[in-house]
Amino acid sequence: MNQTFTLPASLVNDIDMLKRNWGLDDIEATIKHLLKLAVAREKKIFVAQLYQNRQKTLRQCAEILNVELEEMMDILIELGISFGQDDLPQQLETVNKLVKEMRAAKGRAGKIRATVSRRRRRLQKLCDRWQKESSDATAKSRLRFKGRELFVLGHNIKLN
Amino acid sequence: MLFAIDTSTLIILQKLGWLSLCDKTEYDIVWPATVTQELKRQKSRNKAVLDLLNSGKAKERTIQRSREIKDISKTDSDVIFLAAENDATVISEDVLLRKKALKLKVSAISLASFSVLLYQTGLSSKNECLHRLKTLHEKTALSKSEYHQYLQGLLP
Repeated sequence: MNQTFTLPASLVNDIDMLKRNWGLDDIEATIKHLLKLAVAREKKIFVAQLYQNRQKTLRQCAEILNVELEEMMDILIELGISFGQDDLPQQLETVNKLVKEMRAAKGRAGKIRATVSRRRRRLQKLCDRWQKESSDATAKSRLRFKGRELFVLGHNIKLN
Repeated sequence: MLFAIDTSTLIILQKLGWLSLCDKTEYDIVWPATVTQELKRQKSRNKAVLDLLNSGKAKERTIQRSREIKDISKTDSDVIFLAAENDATVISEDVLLRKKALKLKVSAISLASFSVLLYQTGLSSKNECLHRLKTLHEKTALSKSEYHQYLQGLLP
């Protein structure tokens, strides 16, 4: 693309200074380099604003800038753009709901555990009584209560 | 209780060194050992989220995916649909993604809210929660006013 335009003298002086500093050959190459840098920076700012205004997601912003998600996050951090919590009230409502659900689930699990241990204790008592009262020595020797399993005359009953 | 986490949030967790935050079996968040590797390999495909949910124990229900979620990419809408199918909550640092999830009646929270949730359910201490909120504030994930709102919420 060819475009002709006039630059103010002060700007030309500044560009010339940069040209020398960057060790470039001519003013055209310096302007091209400057434009490249400026466009890249402005594009980042523009995309970051799209994110800030909730018009694009992080992923979409990364796609526009053709960078990895991680780099996109670094760009936002660099520009001081907060990820944002506009929906804080809804979030806290969700947290409260989840806390209630969690407590209810814990309560249910606790009740089940209590019932199981109550039944185990009752069964253990029965076993002890039977062993004490039984006169059958063989049967006695073949009755064991181990962990969650009750062995009675070669049969084992799993307790849940 | 199941959670679906989008890849960008996973990356934040990794950057903050908080991947272990989700390493709580009581929470039904089964964090496969392969997640970190998957993250490196499939960053753009939300594979980690799929793995995470597939290893969960929730009853999967089928929902119509024909409805498209406008204005967000397919990978982002996948997270919302996966959460909906598994009756899970979305954890995302992306406000737009959370808003889209809420529109589909899928609950969504940020990492800051997740930290508060862990504290309120007794899965982490108050100090840990405060430290996490402070870090999120320092890493610009939370503005000053939002940070203070969270702190107020933690007061007895």
